[in-house]
Amino acid sequence: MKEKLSRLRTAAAAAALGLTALAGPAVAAVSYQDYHPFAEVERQLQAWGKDHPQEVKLLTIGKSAGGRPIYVVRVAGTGGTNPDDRPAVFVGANIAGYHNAGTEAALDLIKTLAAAPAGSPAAKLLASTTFYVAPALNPDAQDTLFGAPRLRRGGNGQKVDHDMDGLVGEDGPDDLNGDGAITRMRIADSAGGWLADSTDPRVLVKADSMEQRPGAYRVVVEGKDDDGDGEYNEDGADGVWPDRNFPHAFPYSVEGGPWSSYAPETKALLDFLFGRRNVALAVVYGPANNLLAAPQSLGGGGDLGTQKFKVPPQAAKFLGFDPEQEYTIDQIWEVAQNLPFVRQNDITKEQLQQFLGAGAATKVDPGDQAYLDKFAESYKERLKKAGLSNDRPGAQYGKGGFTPWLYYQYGAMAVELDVWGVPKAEKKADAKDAGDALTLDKAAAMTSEEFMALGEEKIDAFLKENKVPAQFNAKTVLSFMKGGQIDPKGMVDRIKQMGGGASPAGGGKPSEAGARDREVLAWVEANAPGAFTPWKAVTLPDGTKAEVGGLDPLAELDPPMAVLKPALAAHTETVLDLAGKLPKVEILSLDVTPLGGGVYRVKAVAGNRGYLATHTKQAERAHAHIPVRLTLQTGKGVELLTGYPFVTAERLEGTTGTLAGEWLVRADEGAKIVVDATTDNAGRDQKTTTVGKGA
Amino acid sequence: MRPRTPRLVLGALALLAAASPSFLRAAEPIRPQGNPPAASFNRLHTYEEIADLLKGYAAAYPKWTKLESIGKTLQGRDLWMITINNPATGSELSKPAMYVDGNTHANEVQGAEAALYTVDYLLKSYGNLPRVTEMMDRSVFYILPVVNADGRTLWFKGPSDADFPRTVMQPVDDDRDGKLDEDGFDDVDGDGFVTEMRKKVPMGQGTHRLDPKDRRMLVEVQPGELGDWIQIGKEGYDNDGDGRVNEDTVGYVDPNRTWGFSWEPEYVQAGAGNYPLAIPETRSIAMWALAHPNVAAVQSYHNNGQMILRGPGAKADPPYPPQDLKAYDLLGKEGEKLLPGYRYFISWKDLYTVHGGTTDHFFNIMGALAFTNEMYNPPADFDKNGEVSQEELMKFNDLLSMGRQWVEWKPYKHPQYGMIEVGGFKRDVGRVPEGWALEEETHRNNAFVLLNAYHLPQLSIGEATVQKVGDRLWKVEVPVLNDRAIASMAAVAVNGKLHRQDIATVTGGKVISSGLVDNPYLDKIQIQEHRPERLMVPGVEGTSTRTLFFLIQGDGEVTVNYDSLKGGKVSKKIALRENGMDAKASM
Repeated sequence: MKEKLSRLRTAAAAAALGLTALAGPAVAAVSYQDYHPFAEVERQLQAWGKDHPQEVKLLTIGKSAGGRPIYVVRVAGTGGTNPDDRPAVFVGANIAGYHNAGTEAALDLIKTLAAAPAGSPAAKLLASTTFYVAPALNPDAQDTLFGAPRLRRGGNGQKVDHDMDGLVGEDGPDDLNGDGAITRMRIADSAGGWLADSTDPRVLVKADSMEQRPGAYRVVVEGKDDDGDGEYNEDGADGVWPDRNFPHAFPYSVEGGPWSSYAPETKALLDFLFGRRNVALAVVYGPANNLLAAPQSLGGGGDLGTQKFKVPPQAAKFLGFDPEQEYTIDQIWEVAQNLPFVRQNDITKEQLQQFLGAGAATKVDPGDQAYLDKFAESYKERLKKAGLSNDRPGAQYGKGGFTPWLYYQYGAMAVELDVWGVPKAEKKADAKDAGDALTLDKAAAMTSEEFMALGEEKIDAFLKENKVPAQFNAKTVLSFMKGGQIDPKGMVDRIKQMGGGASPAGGGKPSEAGARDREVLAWVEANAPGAFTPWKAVTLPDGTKAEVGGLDPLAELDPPMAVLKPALAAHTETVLDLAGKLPKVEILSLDVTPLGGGVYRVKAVAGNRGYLATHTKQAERAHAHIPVRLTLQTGKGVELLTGYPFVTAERLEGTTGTLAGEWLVRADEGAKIVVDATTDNAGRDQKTTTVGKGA
Repeated sequence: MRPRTPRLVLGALALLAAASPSFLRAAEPIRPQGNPPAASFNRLHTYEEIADLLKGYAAAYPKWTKLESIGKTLQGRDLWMITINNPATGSELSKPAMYVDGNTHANEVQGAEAALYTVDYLLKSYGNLPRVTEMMDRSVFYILPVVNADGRTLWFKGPSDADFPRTVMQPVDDDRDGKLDEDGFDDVDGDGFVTEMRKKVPMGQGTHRLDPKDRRMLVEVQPGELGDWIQIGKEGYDNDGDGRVNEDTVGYVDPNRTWGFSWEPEYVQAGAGNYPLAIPETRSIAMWALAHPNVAAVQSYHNNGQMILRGPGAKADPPYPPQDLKAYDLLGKEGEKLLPGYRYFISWKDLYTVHGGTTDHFFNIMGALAFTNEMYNPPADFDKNGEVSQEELMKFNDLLSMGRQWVEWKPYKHPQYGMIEVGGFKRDVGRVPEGWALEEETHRNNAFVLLNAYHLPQLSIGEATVQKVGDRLWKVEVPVLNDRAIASMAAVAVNGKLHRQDIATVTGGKVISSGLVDNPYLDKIQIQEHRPERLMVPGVEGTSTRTLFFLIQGDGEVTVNYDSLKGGKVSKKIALRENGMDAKASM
């Protein structure tokens, strides 16, 4: 009580002086000195470019809203096919702005690739595969990790009037307690929607009617109401969020921007990637993790499997459908594909879907998810081997995010990985929330013999846990029980009468609502001391009393470097592993059979001998790539007698997919029969045979 | 009641005077420097001719106009926009504005003439026609006659026809063979027009026969009949040897499917482009519009079908707020009267689904009321059955155009089809009026634009009610009138937080509290809890009054300032003394 009073006095004095922060030493902040600020990233990339001029090419694909360059590093082995024509992996980091761990992982990958010794697996991969790695996709936000103060910022340097009051950036957060970080502020408010967790009051949980948890606090970002509009820190320097500005499930909002692709960072990526259709696989290092938690739909319509359509009356008459009836796309296509009108005009199923008004896809196609599931298996295995948690929760990507766009519209196999997250607490055998923990209710159900069999040590722990006064120790209880003066049920009733029971009083169970936050807090206290700021009273300039404190805004994403290191290595390995799974188009066979009179039958089979399909199912639906094409070269003594010199396939499944072409040609003796197979993201192959006397 | 009458009349007069500066002084016609361009609106103009005309207006009316290139097309042509503003009545951004563009689709050319007509009409009518003078004194016109300058150029030069080109010139691999735009139309007979190809075949091998009534036309054979002609399609070859003719033409990114609202990717919306506003033409306009939030009404001309279109473009798009529909419906229905034959339509419901359309962007992102007029229908529905048939078009050609619109069939040896015939309608048939009808079409559409401009929000501050409630403490209620149909802030903008609200401030006194008056008689006021000196107002609806409340500490006189992004700025001095204007005092 005394302490509280003195705090209030200090706060009042501070307010009187116009000070906002409560006097007192600032908490030692977490150190991020081993992370790379943007200038360091830039310097490092340039250095690698200089050190490995053949393999590493530094590309500037655009400028951020704040005028900073957006870099993509292209790493590819020397010689052979032009790197921009090889199957490629794209790795993009920290478009979120506050996911600096991703930047570190991307840098680790570039370093590993650039410095790959000859003959190493990485060097072998580089001979046929190109890597595009972008370590800092939101450079305007990149340095807030080191910032004064540190805060979670997703927006670029664009000037934005968040609260639409005609003033721009007039009410940003303030570091009231001088700890170098913008944490949170709680203001006593019974309508505020938050309250202190019953198990650990440092943690805040949401008010809940069903759980009978009334609100006690309003929780806002740390800072003053600079513009006096009653809102705290609602209009800071944060601009448009590039990671909310992509066109899949674009959220129309101030943070998302007026339209998708508005943010220069987003537009630069869109242009860069549309200009390079050789990318088959994309990894985003960001706050979500799709391999620990399968990606969820971002909403909307357009799930083709279940969507039903009415055929518009005029077309229905033409195509022979009942305009009143509803059909699935497959039902319609089955009939429509053989109609002369459809065949003569090369109308595709996709065009029909478009005509009927099928919406955009909103769920990962099961055929693509099957590959993601396989990725997840090996990923979790790798995390385990590296001693990293693989059962922690994985966050979902958001609307207008980079990753969902890469999958749904760009058509790449795409995953987002968070690199690191606070691990789940290891369960101790005697933990009170473990299944075998001895609760009051369990004890009450025991016979005296069973209870006595627990032994003195366990009984003492049980009594202590339930706040039984020290004079009643295991020895006393055991002697009473032996003498038959009390049984376990009677004992439990007594404990309850005395007001005992494990905290919190009542259920004896720790609150579920705050469980993950307590887990995070416990981890932070053990591994990143200083990343939690104890709640401290402040008085705001307008007289409002509040408390400032809570977790460092980046503690759950960007851990101390010593903690992050093993995760970086594991993720570089993961990307190298995935890069070995790219589709690869090959000519599997080429047979030339003479039919007499200088006429030959040419039969060629192309196949995909890579692990991944040449195109995702979604790319096939979205027509994101051109089809696989198997072509017979004509001219130079080879003349095609009928038809056209190519065949195509929309998609070749991994390992087993094939595409066969058969042609009737007239060829000069000694002429070369050349076939080639290609698609924009699975390479190219060519085979030649000579028409000879023996053929 | 009696004592109030004279005061009301005086108030109304004062209000009128404040609202229209031209009321009290006679505006002189603008005297051009040198000769203004002598534009004719009975013919089409090339892009270069339009650019020259715009430069001519800018030179002749330097104080009133600003000609600027707001961006460049893919092929490097300037997007010329002319601003018409009376500098004597205030700066551009301080006034409500009307934005007009045309020729977004390459082949929908006459929108450019209609837009240009407005430039010519405004500059020559100021000081002569009071209704136009008033509009030009209180509002700004932004006019961009040619959006798709590259496409217009190709349409004029060819190969082109009535429907091609439509899009911008951004190459797209339509047939997905890895090559861009490699198999487009060809003017095979070199006559400057892309017409049709047809071929006579042995009886029984065809799908058509000659129309017995008019051998220039083919008719489809009916069940039980044999055909001896085939219709091949538009002039062209199989340029890329894939067994298909004209399947990868120039384009196809549709500039009216690339806008920012409700954009959907190519597989959902044909012509969408890689991402919203991925082409320089529309992106330049969108960026320009962000910097011109004063635009409150929009016209984007297209052809054809005689429609006054508004969004939503797609069924799944959010419905329009009823407050905004009041203005839309008024303008749309009045428009039907100015434009005989035109119907006021909702895009998705009455026409077809459009994702990423211009009007949706301007309404749902910029908060401006936007229409697309689909100009023209050939006046050839002689049997009045609501449709114009091939026969009727031919009759129009023969009897009204004296055969000018038709290219007679000629034999031609085609590399893939052998001996064929080439001929058909010229490119301006069906979508573009001939000269004698063009001028009327442009004038009537211009009249619709001026109707929109007339209804741009017009704000004025009425007589305030002042009541003394303490020492130097005044309760002031200030009516802000919008006497035109378009709101000073559209409901869609209020609901979607598209831009800042209108802001009311008071100078010369301290504002203790402020708010919006719901009912001045019952004293129902929504108090703004914080920052009373900066009262946020969600606009003044069309033809209505919004009353503001201020509790002011001060003496003498204060000034109330009302600042609206789309409704302009107005101020008024208010004497701090009981004026008996409140309902209770006059009872």
